[in-house]
Amino acid sequence: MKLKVGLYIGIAVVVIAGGALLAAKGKDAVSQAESRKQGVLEAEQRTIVYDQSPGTIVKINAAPGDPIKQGEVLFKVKSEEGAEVDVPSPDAGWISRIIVKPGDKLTQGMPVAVVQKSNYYADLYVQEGEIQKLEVNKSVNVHFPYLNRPAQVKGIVASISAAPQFASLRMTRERGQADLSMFLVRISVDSNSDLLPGMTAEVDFDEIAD
Amino acid sequence: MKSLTEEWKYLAGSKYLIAIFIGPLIAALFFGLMFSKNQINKSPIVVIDEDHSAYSRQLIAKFNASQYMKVTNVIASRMDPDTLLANEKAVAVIMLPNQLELRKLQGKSSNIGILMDNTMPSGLTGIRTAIQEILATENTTLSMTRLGQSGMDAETAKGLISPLSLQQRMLFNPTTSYVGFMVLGFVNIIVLMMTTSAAGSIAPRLRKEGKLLANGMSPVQLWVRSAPYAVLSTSSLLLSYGLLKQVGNMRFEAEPYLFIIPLLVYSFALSLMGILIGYTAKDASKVGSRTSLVLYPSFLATGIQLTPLAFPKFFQVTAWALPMNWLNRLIRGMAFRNGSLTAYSLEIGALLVIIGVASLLIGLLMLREARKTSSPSVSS
Repeated sequence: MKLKVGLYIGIAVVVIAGGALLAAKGKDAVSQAESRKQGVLEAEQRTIVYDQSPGTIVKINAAPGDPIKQGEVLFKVKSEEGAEVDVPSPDAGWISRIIVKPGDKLTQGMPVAVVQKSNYYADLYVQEGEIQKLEVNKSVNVHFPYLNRPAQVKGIVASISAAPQFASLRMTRERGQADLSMFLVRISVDSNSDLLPGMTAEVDFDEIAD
Repeated sequence: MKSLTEEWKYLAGSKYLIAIFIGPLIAALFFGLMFSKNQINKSPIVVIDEDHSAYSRQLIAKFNASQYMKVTNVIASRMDPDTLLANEKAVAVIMLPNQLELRKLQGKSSNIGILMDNTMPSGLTGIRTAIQEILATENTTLSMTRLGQSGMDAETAKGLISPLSLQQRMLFNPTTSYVGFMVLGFVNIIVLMMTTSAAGSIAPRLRKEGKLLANGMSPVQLWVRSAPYAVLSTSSLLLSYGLLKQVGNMRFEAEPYLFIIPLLVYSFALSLMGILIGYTAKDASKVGSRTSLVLYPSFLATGIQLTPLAFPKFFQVTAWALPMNWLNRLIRGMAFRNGSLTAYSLEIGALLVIIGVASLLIGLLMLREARKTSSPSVSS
């Protein structure tokens, strides 16, 4: 009887201790999510500007959505002197907009097309305490958690810099992270057909080994 | 006339004479203290600042300066508001969009998002007033300084009239349906009342039958008797939530088979608490009045009608001892938001502590009673 009661009380004490430990040490949803940094996937776009002598568009070789290589000829232009001039694409990527149409007169400085580069990037804000996990050219896994079928791709840390606006903040640590120094980390991701600019990209810092 | 004087004389010697004066005084003092806050000040909110600019910092400082709100955390990158509201650390999330400062300088209008946790609608009135006030003041300040400008286009004109517009979203119970808090709370209260009084009458019943301390019965055997009550009230609760979801359109996002785990832990805590408060009762009929010890505080202070934030800190802390406090948090958190079980370790841990403490006290009460009954027999 005595042993049984002792055991019973022992188990009750263990349950209390276990419960207290769970309540005190357990991570809530916010602290579980804090190591997962999110940013918006963006694509760099470049406007192609006509930079040669004035002329008229003769032929357009590309349509919006077409993939293009660097140096590929997009427009053929007949200049006022009668010579034929090619307008090449400065970057590899996709045509996102053609601004002119055949027969249009071009002068120097007119925008003719918008090219979307084949690299995507996402900017993440990272706290001082976690920045040592990352270095330039390090490869990280980038998740897209809100897609119907969540995707994952490899990304490369393209740059790390002090986030300009945070640099001037006081370091009171009064309201958590915002008063700390923040670093702006740009992760570049190769584009693929599953990804579109505007999607939410996520890097889980718990996955990254020091 | 004789009967009147007789009754007066009877009353003069009865407990009623004292009780009728002391009772209301205590109630006035207790409830007066409990509802002394009148309005909810400094509700915790979280800001997601995607702009990271000096202007967004100014706005956050203004939010924080409002008497209704307290900015507990500023998050630099995007985060799902569901996550931020999951553990009731904040009642609203304000999202400051990217390029807020830039658009302000360009004279364009920006949208500010505020996402509010509407699982306890009484907690939000102050915040809604406060953010409207702040933005109205901000808008007037901004447009007055811009009045000197001339030659504006349509976008600028809109920016002049309302540089900041507010997009409000009420999450988890957008229509403030009573089913989501009051009806659900009443259902929980009914289960609490029935389970505590049924489990509470176990010990008096056994004592009457002479089985309580018969042939070296250990606390384990009493403890085990709580299991059927726990299992039955778990299934009853789950059934009524299902009914509320189907008929009353209550939100219930968690997987039922996962939600059984916290429900079972809660029901065990409740049954053990029932056994504990009923243990020293003379007979089963006395248990009913004792259950009000758990019933009334559970009804008042666990967010069924009024958010716990409306009470002084002392009452909020007192509610930690009530299993229903944690059940309601689990429902508002895990069930309404499809939260993962691992994010609710605080709530489940607290229920385990309640189970442990109740078991310990039951064991000690039994030990004391066993000593009392055995010592006279030894001396005789």
